[in-house]
Amino acid sequence: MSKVNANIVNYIKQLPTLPTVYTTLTEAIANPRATSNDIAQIISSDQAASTKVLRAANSAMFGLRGRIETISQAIMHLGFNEIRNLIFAMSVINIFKKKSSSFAFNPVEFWKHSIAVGALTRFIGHSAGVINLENYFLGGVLHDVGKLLIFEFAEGEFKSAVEYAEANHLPIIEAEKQVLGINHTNIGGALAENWKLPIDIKNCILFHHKGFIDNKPDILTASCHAANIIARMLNFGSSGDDVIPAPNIEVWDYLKLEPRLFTKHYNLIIQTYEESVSLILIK
Amino acid sequence: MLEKLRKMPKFMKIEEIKEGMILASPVFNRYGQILLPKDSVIEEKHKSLLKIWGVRCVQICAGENDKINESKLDELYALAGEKLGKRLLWTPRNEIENDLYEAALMKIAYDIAVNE
Repeated sequence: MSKVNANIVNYIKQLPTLPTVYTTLTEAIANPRATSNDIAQIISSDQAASTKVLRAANSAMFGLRGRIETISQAIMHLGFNEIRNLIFAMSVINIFKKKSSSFAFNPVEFWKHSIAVGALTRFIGHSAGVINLENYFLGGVLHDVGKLLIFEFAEGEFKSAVEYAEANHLPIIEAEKQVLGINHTNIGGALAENWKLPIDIKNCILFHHKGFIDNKPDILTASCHAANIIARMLNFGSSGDDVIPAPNIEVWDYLKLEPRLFTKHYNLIIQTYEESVSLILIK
Repeated sequence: MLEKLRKMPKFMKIEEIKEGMILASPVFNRYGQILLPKDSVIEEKHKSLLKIWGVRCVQICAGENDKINESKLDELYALAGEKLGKRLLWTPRNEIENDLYEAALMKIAYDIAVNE
């Protein structure tokens, strides 16, 4: 194990725990005796979380514009897990402390990219006919969380990787491997395990660059793979490198998206992105 | 295409909005209730009301004042193609990638126009 890797794995253990409302909700959802009212009460007890849930539920991402007035309605339309994941996605940014850097990596632009990938992963999943989309937004938001860990706990090394990627016109994942001997997908996967996130989300973090899990199709990972490329092409934030790698062409065959999907739903895509960024980044 | 670019909504801070601008999406309060519906024309009084309601930004239709016009469209697309070409490590290989490329050009052309 390289020194950087060992340090980061140690830091993962010291990272602040998940938001209280998230862990309380996870426990309540797992409890067969908990009712919908119990869950609604837990969410309502956290004013910031409940406000954001209502705004999110009424945003373009869910297509329920203006119809959700209470937490109970939000639960009924979106389900327990989607709401729990939404609360996590909207608060994960607070876990990381550094808000700026001395080199070409901007944490705010990084979060914009991550939020875009979250919204687009859900959009692609929906377009591919997936019914249960509860892990899609969170999976997308967290796909690059490993980069942020490297930045947070090994800034000098991360700077070297970012600069190497820029100088050699490479995706950052290649620079990480060559310069640091690690990559952000494994670091992110270790964090997901530490946080006990659903296995689908962990796989999405681990395999979003390939699109498949060890050559086996997986619809969330494939959607996130496509979303990562789309977010880069549409200039939604910046993930730390400038190049846009080629999508895995088999992912398109697997997703079977409708023709002219992106130009047809162009305004919806832009609106969903803008609203999601506003929800998470603007207090 | 020009129409689509012009109609693209954008988020604006309350301090930046002006009388006559049109809301591209409704403004909600914290309970999800609509305070101002979509297509509302901004009046001076709305600015103070929105501040009182704690709204930080709204989505505005790009509208007439937008800098994008027909004569500039080709130039914008050429610039967008150049920018995108520098970042792409591949060329579109199928219909879905062609469509994505087209959407990307539209977005980058828009970004160039509004940031000029």
